[in-house]
Amino acid sequence: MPSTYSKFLSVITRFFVGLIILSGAIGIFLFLVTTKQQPIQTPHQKNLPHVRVISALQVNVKRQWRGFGSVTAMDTTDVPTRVTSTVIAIADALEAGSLVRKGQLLVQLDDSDFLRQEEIAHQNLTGIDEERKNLAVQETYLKKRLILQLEQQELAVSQHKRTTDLIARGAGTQQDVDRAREAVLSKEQSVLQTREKIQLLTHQRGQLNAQHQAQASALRRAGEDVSRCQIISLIDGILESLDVEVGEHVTSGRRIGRVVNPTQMEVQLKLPASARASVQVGDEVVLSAVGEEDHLTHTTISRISPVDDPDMRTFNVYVELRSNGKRWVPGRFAQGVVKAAEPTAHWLVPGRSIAADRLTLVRQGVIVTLGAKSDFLVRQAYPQTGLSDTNWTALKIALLPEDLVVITPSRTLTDGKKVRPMLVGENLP
Amino acid sequence: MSIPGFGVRKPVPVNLLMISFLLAGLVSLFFLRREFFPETGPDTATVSLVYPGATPLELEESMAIKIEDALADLEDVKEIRTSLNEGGGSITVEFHESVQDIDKAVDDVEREIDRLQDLPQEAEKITVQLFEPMLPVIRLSVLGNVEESILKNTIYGIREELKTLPGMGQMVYSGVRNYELRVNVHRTSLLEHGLSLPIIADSIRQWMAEVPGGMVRSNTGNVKVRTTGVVERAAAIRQIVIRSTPQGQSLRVGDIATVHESFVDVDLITRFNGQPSMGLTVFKRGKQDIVKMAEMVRAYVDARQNRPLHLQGIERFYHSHRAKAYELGRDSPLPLPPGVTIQTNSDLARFVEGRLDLLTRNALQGGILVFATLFLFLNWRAAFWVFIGLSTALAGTLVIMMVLGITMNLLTMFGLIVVMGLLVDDGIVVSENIQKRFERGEPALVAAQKGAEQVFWPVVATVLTTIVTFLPLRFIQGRMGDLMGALPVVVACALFMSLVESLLILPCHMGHSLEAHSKDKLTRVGQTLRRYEQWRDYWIFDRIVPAYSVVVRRCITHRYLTLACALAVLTVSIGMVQGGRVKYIYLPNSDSETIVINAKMPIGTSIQKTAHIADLIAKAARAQPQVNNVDSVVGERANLNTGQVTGAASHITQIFIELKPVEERAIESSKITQNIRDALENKLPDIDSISYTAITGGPGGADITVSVRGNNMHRMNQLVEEIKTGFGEFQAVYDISDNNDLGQRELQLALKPSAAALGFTTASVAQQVRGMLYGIDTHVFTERTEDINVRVRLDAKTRNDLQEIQQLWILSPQGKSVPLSQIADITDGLTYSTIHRTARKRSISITADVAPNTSPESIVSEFKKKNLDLLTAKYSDLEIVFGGRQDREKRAFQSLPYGMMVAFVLVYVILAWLFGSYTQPIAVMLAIPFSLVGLIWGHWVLNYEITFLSIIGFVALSGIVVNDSLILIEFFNKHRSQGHSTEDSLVEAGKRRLRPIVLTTLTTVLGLLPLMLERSFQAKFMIPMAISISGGLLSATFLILLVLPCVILIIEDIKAGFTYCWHGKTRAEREAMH
Repeated sequence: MPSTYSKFLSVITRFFVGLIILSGAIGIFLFLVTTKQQPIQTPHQKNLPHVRVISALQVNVKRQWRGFGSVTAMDTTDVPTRVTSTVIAIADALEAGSLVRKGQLLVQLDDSDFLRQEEIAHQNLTGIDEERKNLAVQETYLKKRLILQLEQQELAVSQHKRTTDLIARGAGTQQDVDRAREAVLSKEQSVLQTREKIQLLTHQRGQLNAQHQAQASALRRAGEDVSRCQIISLIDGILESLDVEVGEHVTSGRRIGRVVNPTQMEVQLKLPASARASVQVGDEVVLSAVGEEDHLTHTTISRISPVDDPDMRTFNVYVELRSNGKRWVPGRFAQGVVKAAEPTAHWLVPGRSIAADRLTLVRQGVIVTLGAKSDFLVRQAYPQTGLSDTNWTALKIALLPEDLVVITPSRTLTDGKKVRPMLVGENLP
Repeated sequence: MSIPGFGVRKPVPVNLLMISFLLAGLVSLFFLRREFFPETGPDTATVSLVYPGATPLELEESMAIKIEDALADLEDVKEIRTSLNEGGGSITVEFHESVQDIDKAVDDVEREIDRLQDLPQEAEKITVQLFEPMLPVIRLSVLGNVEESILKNTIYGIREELKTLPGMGQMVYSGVRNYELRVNVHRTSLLEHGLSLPIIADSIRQWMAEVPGGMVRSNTGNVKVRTTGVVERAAAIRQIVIRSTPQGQSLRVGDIATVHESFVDVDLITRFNGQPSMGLTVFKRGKQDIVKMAEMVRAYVDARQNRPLHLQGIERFYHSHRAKAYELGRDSPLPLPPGVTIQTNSDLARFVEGRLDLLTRNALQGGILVFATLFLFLNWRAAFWVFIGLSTALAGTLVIMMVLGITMNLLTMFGLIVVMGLLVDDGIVVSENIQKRFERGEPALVAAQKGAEQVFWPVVATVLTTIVTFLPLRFIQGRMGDLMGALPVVVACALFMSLVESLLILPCHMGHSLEAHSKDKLTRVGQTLRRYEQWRDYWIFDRIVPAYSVVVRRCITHRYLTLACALAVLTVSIGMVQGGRVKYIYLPNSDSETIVINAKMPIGTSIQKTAHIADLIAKAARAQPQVNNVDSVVGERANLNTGQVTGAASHITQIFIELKPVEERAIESSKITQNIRDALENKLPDIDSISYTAITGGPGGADITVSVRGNNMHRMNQLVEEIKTGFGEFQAVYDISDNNDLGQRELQLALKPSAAALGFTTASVAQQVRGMLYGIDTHVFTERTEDINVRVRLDAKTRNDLQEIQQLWILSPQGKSVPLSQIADITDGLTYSTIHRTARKRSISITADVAPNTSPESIVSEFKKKNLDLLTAKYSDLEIVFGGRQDREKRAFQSLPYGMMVAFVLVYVILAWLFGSYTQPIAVMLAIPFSLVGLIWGHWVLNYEITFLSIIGFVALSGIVVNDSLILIEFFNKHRSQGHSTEDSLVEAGKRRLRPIVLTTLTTVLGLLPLMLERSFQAKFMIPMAISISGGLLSATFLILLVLPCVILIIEDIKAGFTYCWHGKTRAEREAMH
C-alpha cells in the first residue's frame, strides 16, 4: 500500500513538475512574442513628399506677337525705255549693284531716227511758215480789194438810186435801172467773193496754224525722243538690275533696269489674324534677319493693313526701316516680334507648370489646383526665380503673393494633399 | 552472391571501377561548366512593339490592349506584363511552369498576334522572341577624349573580333549612338520659300531613289540598267534641287537646311571614370561558361593593351582559349587609335571564381577535418579507406553532373559540401561494423562481407530517406525553385555513388586491408597507434559510454519529465523566432562587386543637368576607397537582365560602380552602398528618385515591391501615394519610388473647324507637325552592317523650344503659310512617358529598400497589419499585389509544404518497411521538429538571420536526422528480439550506437565548420543553410541519444495503457494467458 501511494505521489509530483516546466516555457514564449521589437515608425508629418516650387511672380510684360515678312524698299523705280530703239551704249562700269545718281546716264539708245524726224519736222514747219506768209499777203490785198469793191458797190447803189430816182422822175428807163441794178449786184457779188476769199484765208490760216503746231509738236517729240535715247536714273540709289545689253533692240515700255533706294525700307510683317486687336500703330517691333537672329533692330509699326488675308489668316503690319544697306536690304526675309505698347502686370509661371489648363500651387503646405488659361506666351529668362526657363506663360488669372507655384505638376499632387515645398536650389533634407 | 560479397571476392574489377571513377571525376572537374547560380530555363517570351513617334497612350490603345486580349485566352499563358515607352514597348508573356514545349507556346503567341488585323499601319512588324535570361558576365569599356566616331569604330571592331571566338556570349553595346544623316531645315526657310517638310522630304527621297530599270537583251549579252540616286553623303544631298524655274534659278537643300553626317539626335552621355566612353557587355546566354568567356575577354584586352599573357597551369601544354583570344587581340589589323584605351570591368566571372574557390577551400578544409575526426575516433585504416571512398563518391558525382549537364555553381557546390558528411556516414557505419566483426575474431574477408551485409538494408534506407527528404526542393516554384532544383539531384547522385562505394568498394578494401594487417608485424608507428587506440577506447568505452548509460537510464526513468524538458526547450526556441530575437529574412543581400545606381530627375530635365547629378554621384562613389571604377550613362537605362535599353530620356541616368575584389576590401558591398548613400545625402538637388541595386548574379530586386493594378489611373495614383506614405513612416525604409512616369508634357493639337476652309485636315497638319518634330525618314541605306537614316526635320533650336512649336506655321494645300495657332487649339497636357500594365490592367509598382539588418518581411508584415485592410476597403476597385521578393517568398513557401508532406510520407513508408512497425517511424520522425532547437540557437549564437536557405537546410536536415535514429532503432529491435527488455534494449542500442552517432554528427558538423566560421562576406549567403544543418544535427543528436529512448518507452506506455483499457488486462497478463 505505501509503495503504491508513494508511486502515485511520485507520478503526481512529476506531472506537476512537468507542467511547471512546460508552463514556464510557454510563459517565456509569450514574453518573447509580446516584447518583440517592432519596426520604428515616425509620425506622418515628418514624411511629407517634397515638391519643387517657385514663388509666384508678377511682372509687367508686354504682349508679344511674332510675324514674318520680306524687306522691301520704299523708294524704288523701274527704269523703262520710252522709245523703241537699239541700245548702242551702256554707261561705263555700270552693273547691278552700282551706285547711281538721279539724272545719271545709264543707257544710250540709237537716236538717229529721231534726229531725222526732228529735221523733217523742222522742214515742214518752214514750209508752213511760208504758206502763212503767203496767206497774209493775200489777205492784205483782198482786204484792199474789198474796200474798193465796197466803194464800187456804194457807187453802184448810188447809181441805181439815181437811176431809180430818174425813173421816178421819169428820166430813165427801166433798162437803166436794170443796168444800175445789175451793176449793184455785180459789185455786191464781187464784195461777197472777196469776203469769201478773205474768210477762206482765215480757215487756211487756221489750217496752216494747226499744221504748224503739229509739226512743232512733232519737232518737239522728235527732240524728246532724241533726249529719251539717253536713259537716266530717276532717283538716287543702287542699280538693282540692268536688263539690257548693247545692240539689243528695245521697245517702248521695256524695263531697262531697276533702281532702289536702300536707305528707306519697310518690312511687311504677317501676323496671325488674332493679333489685330492687340496691335496698333506705334507698337515696338524687334526685327531680326533670318540667319542673324542675334542682331536685333528695334523699330515701330508705321501702318496696319485694314484687311486680313483670308488664305493665310494673317494681316500685314508695315514697319519702316532705315539702314545703311549692310544688314537690311530689300528682299531680305525677316522675322519680327511685335510688342504691345503698354506693359501690363501679369502673373507669370513657367510654361511647364501648366498641365491640362490647370496650375498646381502650394498654399500653407497644402496643394491647391486652379484652372489657369494662358493669356499669352513670354520668351524671357527670369533668373530671380532660380530657373533657367525662357518659356513663360502669362496667366489670365491672378495669384496670391504668397503662392508657391509647383514647377512640374503631377497627377499625384491632388487638392488637399500635404506637401513640403522646396524652393529651387534647396537640397533634399 | 550479394553485392558486398562480389566486392570482397573480386577486388580487380572493383579497383578498376574505383580508378575509373577517380580519373573521370578529375577530368570532369576541368570541364564542368562554372557559373554563379544555376541557369534558369526560359519561361517567358517577349513581344516587341515598334511604333515610331507614338506616345505610350497611343501604343496602349492601338496595339497593346489588342495584343493582350488576344493572348489572354491562351492556355499556356500565366501572366502578361507590358511596358510602353515613346515609340515602342514590349509585352512579356510568362508561361506556366508546367509548360513542356516552350517553343510551341511561343509559336502560339506569334500566331495569335499575326491574326490581328487592325493594328496601325505605321507600326513596324511585331517580333516575338523567347526570352532567355542573360547574365552580364564582363563589361568592356573603350574610353578616351577623342571623337565619338573614333570610339564607335573602335568598339565595333572589337565586337567583330570577339564574335569570332568560340563560346563567346552575346555582346550588347551601351552608350553607342547610331549614325544618321541629318537634314535640319531652318524654320524661316519654310516660310520664306513657301515649303513644307513633306515637300522637301519628297524631293530628297526622289533624288536618292535607286531604281532598277530592267534588262537590255542584246546580241552580245544581257545588260542590266539601273538608275542610281544621289550619293549618300551630306555634300551630295546639299545639292539636291527642291524647286527650279525655267530661267535656271534653283533652290537647293543646302540653301534651306544644314546637312551633316552625324549621330542620331538623342541625349546620351557616357563616361568611364570621367572620360568619354562606350561599353560592350558580354552576356551569358544558355549553356555558356562565364569563366571561360571572361578569361577570353581579359586575354584579348591584355593583347590590345600590349600587356603580356601569363599562361597558367596546364595551359602551357595546349592551345588554350585564353591563348587564342590573346592572339586575336595581338594580331588585330586595327590598332588602337591614339588616346584610346580599353578596360574590363564588372567582371562577374572573377567574382564567381572567387566564390567557388572559397567554397572549394572550405570543402577541402572540411574534408581534412573529417579525415582527422575519423582518424581520431576510428582506426587509421577505416579512416583512410573511408576517405578514399569519399573521394571516389565525389568523383563519381562530378561525372554524373557532367553527364546530366549540371553546372558547378554555388548551390551544387554547397550540396557537395553538405553531402560530404553524409557520404562519410555510410562508410563509417560499414567500416565500423566490419572492424567490430574482425575484432571479434571473424576472418577479415568474412568480416568484410558479413559486416557489410548486416548493415546493407539500413544503409540503403538511410540513403533513401536522405534522398527523399531533399525531394521537396524540386517542387519549389518560382525563381527559388530554379535555383534549388539542382541540389536534390546532386545529393541523390552523391548518395547513390556513396552507396555503391560503401557497399561494393569499401568492403573490398577493408577486407583485404585487414587481411594484410593481420599478417604484418606491428611497426613502431603501428605500436604508437595501437597505444593511442587503447587509450581512446578506454575513454570511450570505459568512461563515456557507461556515463551515458547512467544518464540515459535516468532519462528513461523520468521519461515524461525528459520529454517535457525537450518540449519546453523547443517552445522557448520557437519563441526566440516569434519574438524577433532571431530574425527572419527571406533572402539576405549577398555581397556584390558591382553596384548599379539608377537615378531619375523630374521629367523634362535637360541632359546637362542630369549629367551634373551623375557626376556628383560618380564623384561620391569614387571617393570611396573600395571603389575601382565608375561607369555612368546619362540619357539611357538598360535592363540588368537583358542588357536592352528600356528607357531613353534626358532625365534618367544609370551608374555602374565596380568595387575592388572582395579579397582586397574589408567591408561588404551593402556597407559601401550605405556609405555612398550617406555621402550623397543633401547633395542631390531636385532629384526625383534614386535606387541602388547590387548585381549578384542571383535573385535580386528591391527589398519591398508592391504593385497597384486597376483601370482608373486617378485612383491608382491616390492609392500609390497612400502606400508610399505608409511605407515612408518606417524609419528603416528608404528609396521609396514608383515607376509611374507621369509628368511628360504633351502639347495637344485639335484642329479648329475653320481649318477645313483652308483645306487642312487633321492628317495633313499632323503629318507636317510630326515631320517637323520627329522628322521624316526619307531614305535608309546600309553601311558597315548599320542601317542609317536620312532624316529631315526642323533645326534643333526650334524643335527643342516649346514656344517655337506653339508658334509654328503650316503650309496649306494652296501653298500658303498659315500660323498653326489660327487653325488649331493648342493645349498643354500631361501624359505618361511610360505606361506599365500587368494582367491586362494598368499597373504601378512601388519599390523600396530597407536598412541593412532589417527584415523587409517584418516591415511588410507590419504594414499589412496596419494598412492593408483599410486600403483594400477604400480602393475596392483596385488590386494591391505584393511582388518581387515577397512574391517569390510566397511562391516558394506555397509549394514547399506539399513537397515536405510527400517527403515525410515516403520517409514513413521506408521506415515502416524497415522496422516492420507503424509507431516506431513516428518516434524516429519526431527528431525532425526537435532539430529546430539547434537550428534556432545556432543562428542566435553565430548571429545570423534565419533565411529561406535556413529553411532549405532544415528540409535537408530532416533526412540526415532520421539516419542516426534509424540505425539506433534497428539495433534496439534486434536486441529486443533476442529477448531483452525494452529498457535494456534501448540502453544497449544507445551504448552501441553512441560512438557512430556522435561520429556521424561530428563529421557532418566539422565538414561544414570551415564554411560556418568563414568571415568573408562572400559566403554569407550560404552560411545559414550550414548553420541549420549543423545546429539542427547537434541538437538532434542529443535528442536521439536521450529523448528518443524516452519517446519509445512512452509509446510503449501508451500501447500498454490502450491494451489495458481495451482488454482489461496488462500485456504481460495476456501473454501469460496465451
